[in-house]
Amino acid sequence: MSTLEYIIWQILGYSAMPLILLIGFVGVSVFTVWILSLTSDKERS
Amino acid sequence: MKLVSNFWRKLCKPSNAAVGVVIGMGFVGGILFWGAFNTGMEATNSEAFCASCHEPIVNEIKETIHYSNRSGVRAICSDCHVPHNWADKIVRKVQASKEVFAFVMGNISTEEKFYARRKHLALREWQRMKENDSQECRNCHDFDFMDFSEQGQRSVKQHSTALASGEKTCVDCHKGIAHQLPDMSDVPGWQ
Repeated sequence: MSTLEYIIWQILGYSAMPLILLIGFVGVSVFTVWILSLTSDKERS
Repeated sequence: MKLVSNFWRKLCKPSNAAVGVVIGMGFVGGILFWGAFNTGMEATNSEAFCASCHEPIVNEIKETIHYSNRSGVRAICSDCHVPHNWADKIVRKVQASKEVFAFVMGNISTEEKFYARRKHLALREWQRMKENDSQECRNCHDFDFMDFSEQGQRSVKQHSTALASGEKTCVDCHKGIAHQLPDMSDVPGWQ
């Protein structure tokens, strides 16, 4: 693996970590908002 | 776009639900997400997953001491080829996406193609292990607890000098311990 290739993969690898957490947050948010819109927040526009 | 703005609007407004319910849903959702993520990570660490592309070399380990031995302790692919700590594991998994792409493109789609590329793949893996000081070997084999009186003369000589000083690392000598060696011509130290 060349140095450039190594650097690119290291950057991609480490930037994947916050991305994973962000995707988790968005996923949980979407699910929670959806559940709430079916129950407590049903009557709200 | 409307869906996103609608979602954002809902996210910015207080809910009618109790604070405890909202926090509870976030907490449970977090556990479920993390559980699912780690289950996925573990699934891609399984021997069956590795064998789906690398079957010929996964079978080779069955002839080695890392598969069957007197103590019944065995290593699977990920024990040696995937870092154990979380951050390095994620980096390796992201790098492996390139390998999935290569497989999809058919680089090693047949046994013939696989054996033709074998040396290239082996050299890359040896280099990776050399760069991390054979970390995956050291997850199980601890130099500090090596009993030289139980080792052969040649092992004692190499371990007490080159390995102890850090001049060499495990994989410099221990190539092909779980798989057959490829053509070793022009590999340093193997003339």
